[in-house]
Amino acid sequence: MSAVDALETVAPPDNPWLRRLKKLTANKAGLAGIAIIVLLIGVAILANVLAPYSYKEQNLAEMNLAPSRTHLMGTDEFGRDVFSRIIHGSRISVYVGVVSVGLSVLIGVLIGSVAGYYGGWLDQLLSVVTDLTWSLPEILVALLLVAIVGAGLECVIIAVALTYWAQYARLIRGQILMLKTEVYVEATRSLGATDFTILFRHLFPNAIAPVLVAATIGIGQAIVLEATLGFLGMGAQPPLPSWGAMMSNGTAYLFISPWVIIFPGLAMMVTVLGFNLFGDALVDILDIREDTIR
Amino acid sequence: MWRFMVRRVLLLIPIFGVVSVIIFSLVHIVPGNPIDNLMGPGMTKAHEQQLIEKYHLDKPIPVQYLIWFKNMLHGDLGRSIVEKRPVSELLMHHLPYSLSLGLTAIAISFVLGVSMGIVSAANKNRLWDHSAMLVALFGVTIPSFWLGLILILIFAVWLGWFPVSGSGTLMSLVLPAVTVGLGGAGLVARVTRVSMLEVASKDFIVLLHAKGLGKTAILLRHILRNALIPVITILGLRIGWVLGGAVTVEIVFGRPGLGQMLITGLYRRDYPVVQGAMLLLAMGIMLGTFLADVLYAYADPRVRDQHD
Amino acid sequence: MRKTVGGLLLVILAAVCVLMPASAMAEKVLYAAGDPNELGVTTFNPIKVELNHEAMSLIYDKLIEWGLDGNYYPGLAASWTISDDGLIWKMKLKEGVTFHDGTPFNAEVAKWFLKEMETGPSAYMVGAIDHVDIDGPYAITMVLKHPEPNMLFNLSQTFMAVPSMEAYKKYGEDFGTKYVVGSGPYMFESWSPGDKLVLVKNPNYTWGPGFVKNKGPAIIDKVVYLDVKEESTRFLELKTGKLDVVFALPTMFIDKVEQDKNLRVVRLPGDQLYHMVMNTQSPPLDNLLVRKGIALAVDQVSITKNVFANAGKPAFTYLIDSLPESKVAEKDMIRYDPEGAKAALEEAGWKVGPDGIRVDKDGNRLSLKMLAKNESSYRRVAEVVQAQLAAVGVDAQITLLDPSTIRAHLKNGEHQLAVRSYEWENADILEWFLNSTRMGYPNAAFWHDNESDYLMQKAMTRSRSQQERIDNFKVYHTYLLNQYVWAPIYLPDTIFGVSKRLVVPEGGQDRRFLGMGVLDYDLK
Repeated sequence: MSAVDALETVAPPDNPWLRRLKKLTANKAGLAGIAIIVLLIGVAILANVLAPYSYKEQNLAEMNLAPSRTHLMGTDEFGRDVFSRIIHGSRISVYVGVVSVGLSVLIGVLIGSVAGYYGGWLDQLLSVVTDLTWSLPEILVALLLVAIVGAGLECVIIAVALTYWAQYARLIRGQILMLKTEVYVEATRSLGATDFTILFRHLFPNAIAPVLVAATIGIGQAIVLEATLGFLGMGAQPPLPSWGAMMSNGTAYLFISPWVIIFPGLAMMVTVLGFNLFGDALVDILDIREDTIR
Repeated sequence: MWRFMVRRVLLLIPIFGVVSVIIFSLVHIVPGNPIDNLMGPGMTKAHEQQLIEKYHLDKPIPVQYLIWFKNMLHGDLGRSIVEKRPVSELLMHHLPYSLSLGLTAIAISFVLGVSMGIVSAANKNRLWDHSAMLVALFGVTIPSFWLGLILILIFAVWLGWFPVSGSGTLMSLVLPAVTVGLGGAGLVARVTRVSMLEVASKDFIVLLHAKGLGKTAILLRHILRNALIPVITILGLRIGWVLGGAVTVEIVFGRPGLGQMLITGLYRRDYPVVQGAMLLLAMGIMLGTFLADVLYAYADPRVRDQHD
Repeated sequence: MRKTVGGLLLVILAAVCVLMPASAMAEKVLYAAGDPNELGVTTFNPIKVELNHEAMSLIYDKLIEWGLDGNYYPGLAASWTISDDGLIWKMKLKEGVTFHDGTPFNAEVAKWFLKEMETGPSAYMVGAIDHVDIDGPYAITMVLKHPEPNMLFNLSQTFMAVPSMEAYKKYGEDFGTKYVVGSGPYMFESWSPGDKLVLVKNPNYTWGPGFVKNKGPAIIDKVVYLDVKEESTRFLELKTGKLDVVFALPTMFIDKVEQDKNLRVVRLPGDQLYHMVMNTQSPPLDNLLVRKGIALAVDQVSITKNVFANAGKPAFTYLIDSLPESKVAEKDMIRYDPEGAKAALEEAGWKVGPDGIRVDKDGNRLSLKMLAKNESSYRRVAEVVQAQLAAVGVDAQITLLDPSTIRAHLKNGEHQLAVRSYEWENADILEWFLNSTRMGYPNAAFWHDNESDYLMQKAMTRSRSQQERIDNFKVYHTYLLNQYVWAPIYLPDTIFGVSKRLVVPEGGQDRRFLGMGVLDYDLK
């Protein structure tokens, strides 16, 4: 949203992708977002190389040490290096964020596009379910779902996906509704195209952009939701270093070793900021009306 | 206008029914049962059976639902299985903590968010805009329980200005309200900015400028007034969040609000408690949505006409 | 006229102020935060309660009190005699005792109470009583169906606190939540669950039990229990003087409390035991050698030191160490022995594989599912045990769950290992957890063994005297230890953070920190 429309004066180039690229390079916030995301993915891939210590090996002789040269971010309740755990934790965050959002986009897009295209009872049902998920705080919905599905990372992913799918469904439904009245759709239909072709060949590519943007921002949301579930004791299982679990475990030591809470929180904040900045930049670059997403 | 409102209220009734069915089913699908909580060493199977029958847990779930629904229509939400008290009494006990936190937080969100939005919109694409929006973004992205812990660390432990937790005094409300309020403020600031910029580009504003009205007067009297409608809508939608979604903040600050009541109820599988609290929440949220809708319709006649 | 009345009032007021000692002017209020791990406040109806609140022992009297020294002291029962065959118990009741509603305590109330107990969850406590005869206004005889040496223990439990008969009958379902009427040194004033419970001094109390010096009324005017759950917060409120007593002080704060000149730490022997249950019907744990290997791999001393900051003792048996039944022979205790653990696993056919985890001859990995409550202390124990098992080549996969889900899993037998704890002060807890008629929950070990059930029956129902009961339970306990159904882990002390404002006399015999002993406490 921190839009930098610096290119207003430049004459529009012919190639739309080139134009978008130019817009992107001018959007400093967006570039910062991309840098953060690239860094995060890099850290996640190279975690084994980058982390100075094991994330699970306990060293009870070095419990709750303050940050120092040997342990940049201190050690936790079992003498594990917080810095190494944060690095390994990035894998969990990326994994949870991407997979759960991917899953909810998949569900949402399928249901939403069919509902938008055909209307009828499916559409009615969708709007009721969307209203419902909107009418309860997401953390409570996720909490109930985790309680039903079970504990562990995979269950959290499923719960997060089931919490968020409706927002994507609603989004794509609105897009499809708008697009299906356009002239070219009528034209393709008159040329004998099937519903399937129209929906997935013609409408879909045009409707998907806002969903992708929402999904980018959604990854940040999903990471926070996973952490919040972890805080409530329902996230990744030990010894996995999920950032949320690290903060949750650290609360008991808030006055003794606050670094156990501070650093994972900072890591998470920067990560989520990255996805948001990038998402905001996409809104700008892809010329999407802001109110379609929110 | 009245017809629109009546329609909206009537629409709430079926939604409320569906919500209650879904809540009931979800709560009962969760594995485990409340009776195990109550079985201590030495207690007999006969006693267990007695409890199961007392709370109708031996009946099929649809039957349990009907019993519950019938009682609810008579204003009886049942008794907590673990705490033995009437659920309505528990709700009345926990609700004030949630309401005080929620309303204060919404006020903070509104004042802080709108100010940031104005600063941003008035300085579009300048340093002030970018800084305000960055702060707003942080507000949106920080997990609230983490923010709460950090605020405790700084303002309660290091500086000693506020109590670490508690719920009785006004001072103990400050940190949790700021924690919840900051998240909302970020959202409000972003919406205020966008909506102000949109209003500012409208013809009548351009006309006002042409008439030579003062910049500040236009900004505050004309642009802001029109731009506030979506902001208020967002805050109306947020009522549910601050009532029940603030559970982590309640835990961090030890406030016995609705969120805490819900989560302990869920952990104990204390069905009547969870159902009662969820229902109250859903009602609060629907009320918030309804108010937002009405306000929106009041401000924008097109919405009203469409429904009539 | 008006003037004189006003003047008179002034004089009286002044006189009252002068005559009243300063201490009585300022109300003495004790603020306490109870144990956050307890399920919380439920009801104060002793007959119907499943889970007790600490304050029960201030609001109510019991017939008998159990001292820290293991002796039984007079409570509402002034004295008692037991016949040689253990079947006839004669009891003299204290005279002049009244409940908070003014109704008297007497033989009629006692008889009603012992009968009414049969309607509640703790009915088993009076299960041995055949009938009660009234011998006089303050004398009863209990006639037992079979000898029950444990009856003294039962009568001393807060589950057997005596409520006012009239109030109990009058208020029905609301007794225990809205109306709470006992005869104890403090009276119920108000209660808002999740927030606080207020008790006020009973000014008429003069019948304190055997081990307290001050028989009543209490010196402290009010006792307020505040619900503070967050562990860090509890400590901080104690430090800033908002709390005088913190129950179950988190171990990481013990040092900080000891360093603070206004605070001190009080340790009482605990009644809790942490242990790891092994599902004896889930392969490979159906093999005694594998169970032995796992039990011996748990380093109780290290957990006590590193997880709990030595705020208790390592556990080597299945009972809390204040019970005589826990004093089994040294060779039968389960102590950390990594070499013994490895040897047992080798003997069972599990050899160390390439990644350090053991495999059997078919190539199956020794990987076990471990459940633990998603609360700080259970999680930490589970994580350390996980590391200790890895050291002998056993892979444990932890799943943290809320207590209700854990029970559901235990019932289905979906677990292999489970970190659990219990709080109980009697050897009969072994029967509760390991009786083959309660498979799944509470018998999470799925322990079904005829010899074990025989020894259990003998201990539970065929002991005539206390000593005989102790001996029988020791035999049963020893047998269980050698079957390695659990791995014993840790015995936490009950630790309180206490403000030095609270004056506690030395040598108190109360098992509870805020029990009848409060009669002797004062606030500076």
